[in-house]
Amino acid sequence: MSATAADHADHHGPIEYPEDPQYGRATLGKLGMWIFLLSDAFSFGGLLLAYGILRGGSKVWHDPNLVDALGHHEPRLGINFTAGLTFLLICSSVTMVLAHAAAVEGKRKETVKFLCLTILGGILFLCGQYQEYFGIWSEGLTHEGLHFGASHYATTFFVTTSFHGMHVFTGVTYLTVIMVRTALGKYDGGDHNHIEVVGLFWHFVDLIWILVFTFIYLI
Amino acid sequence: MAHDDDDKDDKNDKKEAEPAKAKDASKKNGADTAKKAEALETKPAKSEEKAPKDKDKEKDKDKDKPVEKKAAPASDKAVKKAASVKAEPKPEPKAVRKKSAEPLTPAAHAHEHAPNRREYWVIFAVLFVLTVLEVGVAQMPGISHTLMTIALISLALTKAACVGLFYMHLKHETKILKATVALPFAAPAVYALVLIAEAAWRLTR
Repeated sequence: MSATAADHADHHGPIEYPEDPQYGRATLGKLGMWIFLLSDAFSFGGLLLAYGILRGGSKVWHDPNLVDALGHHEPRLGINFTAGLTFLLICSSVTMVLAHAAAVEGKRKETVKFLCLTILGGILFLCGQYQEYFGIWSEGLTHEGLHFGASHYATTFFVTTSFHGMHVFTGVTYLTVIMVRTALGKYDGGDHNHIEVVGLFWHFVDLIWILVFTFIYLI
Repeated sequence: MAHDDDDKDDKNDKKEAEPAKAKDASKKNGADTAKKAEALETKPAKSEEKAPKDKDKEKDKDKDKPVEKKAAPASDKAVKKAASVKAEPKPEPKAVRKKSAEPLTPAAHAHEHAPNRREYWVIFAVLFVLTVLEVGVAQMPGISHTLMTIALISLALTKAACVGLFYMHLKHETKILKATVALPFAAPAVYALVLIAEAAWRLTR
């Protein structure tokens, strides 16, 4: 017992999981992340279903005649800027998958580089969302008359996209922790499981955005 | 039968242990704590020799003892039960996995495949093109809203599937893991279809 415990403490390389007849070599971390992502998918599923039910049950979904206290008509959501944000998230997904590829090949510097690019993509997305809501270089939706609680159109938009934004923020934090650990050499020697697991979370955030963008903005 | 053997072993253990205690007691007079410690040290040494046996016994002890109490008249059933308990050797989890791992699907082995960067860039291009297409479809004039919705949802699902299969490596996972992910993911969509069907049915009334 003590010998194996010592082995474990000194363990630096990858932890080889025995091949499971059902789940192959999937690590416990990976399975755990997948189960979490399923529960998260249900959260987004609930929000999107609520959106669908509200939209399906309303006669007019977006009412341009709805005026706020300052005389602003409720604006429509812009598509082009958000399409750019979507593209940004797709780019960050590519850098994430490249970071994982570098980690598999044991290239620490390259892994850190791509993880940093992924984090940058996430931060830019959050800045983009801030610009969309409140405005950085131009007026945001809140200034143009889209107010939380004023209409189902506004409320479902803010709830769903901000919930996704919180996921992006979580992802950026999570990625930063993993990036620092990678830079410190914690995953040297082929132990890249944590990088794959953070990748799963990040790709999920991208995947959900693809759906949110389609349902909330495009349809 | 195994049950009886265990009992005998237990008794032997006690016999061995008792003299040791007696020795300790006799040496107390000499107030020789060092020797006491020695005696204590020798004990574990003994048990180490029998370590594999002892382990098995300890496992069985827990299981056998309650059975013993219940089946005081020493019915055949109890003996059989105990025997069956021992007949099924506690499988080491690792051994089981290794054994059952042999007839594996090739998908499980594919996990160790080298990352395919070309594939990642191809998927990136596909995602980009589909996004442009989506934005185009959404702003296309003179298209019915139903048709547009169907087109947009199919495009979005294709993109989501691309991310899941290629970037999240679901393509390389086992069938069961794929199903574990895909079926719950489909649940909200199925629920949405039920709601749409229900709304459609109400419209016809």
